[in-house]
Amino acid sequence: MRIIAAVDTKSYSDEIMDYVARLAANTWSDLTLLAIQSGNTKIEENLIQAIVRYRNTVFEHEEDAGLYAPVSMTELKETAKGRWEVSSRARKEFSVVIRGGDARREILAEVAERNADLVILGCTKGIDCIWEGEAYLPQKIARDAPCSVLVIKSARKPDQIVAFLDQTNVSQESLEMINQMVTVNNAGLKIVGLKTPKGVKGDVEKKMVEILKYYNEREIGAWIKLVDTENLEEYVAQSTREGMVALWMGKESILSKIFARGLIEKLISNTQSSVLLLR
Amino acid sequence: MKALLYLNEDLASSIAIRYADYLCSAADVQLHIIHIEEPDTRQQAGTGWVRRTWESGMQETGAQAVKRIIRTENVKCHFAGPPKIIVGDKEFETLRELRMGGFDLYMEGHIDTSSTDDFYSIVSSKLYSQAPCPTLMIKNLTVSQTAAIFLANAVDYQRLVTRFHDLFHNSKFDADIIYFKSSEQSELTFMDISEGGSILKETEKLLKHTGIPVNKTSVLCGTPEQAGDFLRNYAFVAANLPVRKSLRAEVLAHTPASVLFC
Repeated sequence: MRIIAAVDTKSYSDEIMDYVARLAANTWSDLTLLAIQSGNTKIEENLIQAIVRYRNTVFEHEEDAGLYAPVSMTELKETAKGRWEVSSRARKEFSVVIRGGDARREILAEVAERNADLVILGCTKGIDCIWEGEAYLPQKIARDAPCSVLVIKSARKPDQIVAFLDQTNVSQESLEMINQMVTVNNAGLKIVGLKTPKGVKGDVEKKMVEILKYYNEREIGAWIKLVDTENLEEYVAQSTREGMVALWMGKESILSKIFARGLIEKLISNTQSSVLLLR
Repeated sequence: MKALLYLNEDLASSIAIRYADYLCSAADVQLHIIHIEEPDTRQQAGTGWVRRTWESGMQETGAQAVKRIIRTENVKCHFAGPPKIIVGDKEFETLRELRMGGFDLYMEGHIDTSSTDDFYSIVSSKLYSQAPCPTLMIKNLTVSQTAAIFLANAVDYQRLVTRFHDLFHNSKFDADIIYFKSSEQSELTFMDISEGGSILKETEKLLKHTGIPVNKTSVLCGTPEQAGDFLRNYAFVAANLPVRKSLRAEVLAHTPASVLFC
């Protein structure tokens, strides 16, 4: 798995690093710290200082595992106009990339270049959930990225992962990603399925049995809940108060048909914890 | 205890049979299985030989379904005899079996839903309200050896404790006493146990008298959703069967934990 942690110099980026480091170490992932700045002619000094802090946090978490080899900021090389990179490889690749310019465009470009599986980013805690100088950036990344996106609004460990899964089209990768979220947070798992007023379809039930067994075999206790599709929006909103909300938003997902794109943005704005969009 | 487990070939039964398997490992349970094939009205035609042939066909379908779920779930517990497959009305036949068989406990799976109406329709059914023994509504597979004795204002704690003791006095289960007080607030809070009043005091005394180990006593103050969520890690929540809509009943509707109605 390849994780990109998109960061700037602000405190919300500092706050997600502990989580990023734990998740990367748990999943044995290739990790890229993608630092964004506005200018593209030279690297800003305060950004370098922030990256050094973030890098140190990552290495504090994995020092015994030998997962990543250290990188020095003095070795950063400009690989394209406004893009600098340094990377190393031990068991897995660790890289620092700095990109200058429009944050949304630069993050999405890096995600595409690296074929990332997961982008993680923090944001301010208020209703707006913004990056400094970039309104609604997390919402835009969640909306436009082709891969899974985790927006962390609160560094507090969630007690519960509430996973809304499209039962008939669940990928192995998304099941595994939720597995990791549960392990890293030592959280409970609630699997929410959809039902219509006519009840639950037989194939949906079969898939939920499979999902439940998948987690039980990994010694993860999971609670099953069925929600009427007409109450889904309300239930998702309520779940953001209970813990991290994970939504399966694949191309063939029923959920993606129910949720308008505007709602994903609204959900990220209104949540008090974290939102994981699975693709 | 002699327990009757209802099985169907669905998600709820998949959870229920694994839960029953766990229960057998924690308590002395003699487990019987029942499945009822309910024909729709259009199917109920014919008399004599025609009807008998049609009934045995339905029984065979039901038997195969139960066999499949038992084989798929691969549980370790032993069943006291072959599954009983009956053709007829589920409520009527189950009640008759419970009465005739002298069962101590009836168990069935129900998937937790977001609708309290679903919950009320189950607990107000003939099967639940007329069952001659406690009923266990299995919502999820929670592996724990602690049960919650759920109290609130005006509950029949004597019935609750006595039934709980009758079923689980020789088991690995211990208990927490949870007293619920309703309040609209943003987070669940814990109050002093004196807030539980005489019901809580008397329940503690009675449990001590019956020898059931009690770990802790808590008075919860919050909304039914918050309290229901708090109860999620218990093996089951023992409570009086709600006879009408109430905030106490809503806690039981919202909790993802299984509920033992006494």
